Amino acid sequence: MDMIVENNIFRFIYCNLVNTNESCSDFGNFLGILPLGFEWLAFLISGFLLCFIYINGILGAVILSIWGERRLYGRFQNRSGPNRWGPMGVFTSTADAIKVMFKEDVVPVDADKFLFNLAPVLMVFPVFMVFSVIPVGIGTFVVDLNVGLLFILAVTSLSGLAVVIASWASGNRISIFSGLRAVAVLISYEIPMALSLVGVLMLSGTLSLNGIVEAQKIPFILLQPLGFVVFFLASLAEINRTPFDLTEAESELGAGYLNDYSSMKFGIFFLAEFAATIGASAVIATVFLAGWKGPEILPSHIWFGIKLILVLGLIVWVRMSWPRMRIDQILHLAWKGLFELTLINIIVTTIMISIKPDPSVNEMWIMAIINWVICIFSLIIVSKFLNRSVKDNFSNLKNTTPYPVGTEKIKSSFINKKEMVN
Amino acid sequence: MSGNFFIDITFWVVSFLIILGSFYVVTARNIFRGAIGLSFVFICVAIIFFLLNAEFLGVVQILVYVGAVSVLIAFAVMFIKDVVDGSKYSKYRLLSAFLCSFLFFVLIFISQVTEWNSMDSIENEDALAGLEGFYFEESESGSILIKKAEVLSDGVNKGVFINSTLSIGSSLISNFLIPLQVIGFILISALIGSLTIIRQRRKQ
Repeated sequence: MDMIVENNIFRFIYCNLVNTNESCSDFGNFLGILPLGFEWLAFLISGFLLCFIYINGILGAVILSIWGERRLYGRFQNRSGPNRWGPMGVFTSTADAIKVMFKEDVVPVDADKFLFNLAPVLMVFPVFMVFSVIPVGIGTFVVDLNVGLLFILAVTSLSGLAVVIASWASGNRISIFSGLRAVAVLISYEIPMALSLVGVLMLSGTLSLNGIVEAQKIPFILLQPLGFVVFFLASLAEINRTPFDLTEAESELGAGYLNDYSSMKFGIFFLAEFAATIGASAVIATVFLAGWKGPEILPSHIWFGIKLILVLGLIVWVRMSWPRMRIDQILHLAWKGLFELTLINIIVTTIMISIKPDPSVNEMWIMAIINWVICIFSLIIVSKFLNRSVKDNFSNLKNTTPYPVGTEKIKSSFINKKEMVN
Repeated sequence: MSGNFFIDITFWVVSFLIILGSFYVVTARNIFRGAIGLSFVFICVAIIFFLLNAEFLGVVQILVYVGAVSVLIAFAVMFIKDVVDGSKYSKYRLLSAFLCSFLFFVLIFISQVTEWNSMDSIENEDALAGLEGFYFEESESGSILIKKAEVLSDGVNKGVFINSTLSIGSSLISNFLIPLQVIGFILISALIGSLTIIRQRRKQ
């Protein structure tokens, strides 16, 4: 049985370019632009065109998603949102993009200029790399890596490096502080993010995203509810969305590590953030909602699009409903909450698989019900424990000195002098 | 021409970049830039792994070295007194240069002396079965079954090298189980050690 799924776009372009090829027999030779012996050029051109189509599709999707999210924010806050430029305000984000491009590009005097310019590029390229392994429909992807899921985890970890570079190269303290906070969050949330996918890997037996979609007889959100909850929260933290958007905590840090960026460099950071949101929802839709699979009323691409928009809407809903969390609360949640939940999920999945190695669909439904019960109970228990640990921290806070850390000595000496005077 | 030609070109370009990047790492005065150059070298090494069909190693290289170790180095570098101008030359620099070049020649010598077996050149079925111990087969329903390896009647040891990830996983749980557990213990002790250090500081 051939596991390699045909890449339809690539094959279509390639077969139109070359003159004769055995593997293109069912396509027929439509154009035959290149003469014989130039298969390598066709190979190169079709690869380039494939990437070109994908990247421009993502950019268009980002522009649309910014507009859509702003409309949704408007509905959530009981106002109309952007509705002036174009039908229903579709062109608002285009106007924004043009405005951002024509702003003055300022580089601070203290900045390390090379690294300052490198950081936005490093921020945006992992996001496009994530899209390269996601199957958008049957046979529609850039490449089907057999380590696709690990590849996504690896590539998203590059954004931590970009944050460090951006924060240091700006050459001011506020940027470095926010960079420290951002990297602390990014690194801690990588662990529950990776562990929450272990259950999916055990069920599907492959790391390739196409293989995972094909292995889902029923969507994995039913079999892996705990994995879904943890992965959703962890990816919210990885893409810096509320309630975990510490890096751009406006009231505390200006705009965080991108404080000094202006013009198109800021625009690229902005684009990377929104593209990462779409990427995260695409990964969730693929891994937990069975990707392009669905009843054959609609084509596979449209099923994928529907699931993608559902997850995006969920992210917007969360953003509009929750306030921002403090840094210690976020790290508590990662290490004391989500980490335990992933361990519970792995143990439950292992027991499940060792009892029924090759379940039928009906048995899967029974497993799903058991998993949901376990999920709800463990969520309640872990949230109780988390609540208690937060309360303990507050009671500790009452006993400590009220002034900031590092100023205790000065204050105490000051107080002693006062007492001596009295 | 198509496949191998591009792979060759990529290999030469990337290895040139690795050598260039390594020189930049050791010669750069600005230590932070040096650290970023190091992460660039790590990415290039990952590309070499991808070229050699070792996707798992390449991905882990990016995940661990670029995503975690480079960030850690970049933070550690910020504690150095003068990041931009670098520190003074060490007085042991001759000794260290000698040791490093010695290590370099030892590595080259070892890589020349070792007999490198490619996967294709192993023909003995017993050796193949002993090497992996398991093989994988896809069942009708699409899930993957792990089976004990045995020399089949037609003399073909099937399925062992489907992709490197599966065979690395099977080796880890069969032949290298004890080293895996030992590494786990070492990591746990490192974790507990770091926690202890943090707790001690908080008491003072």
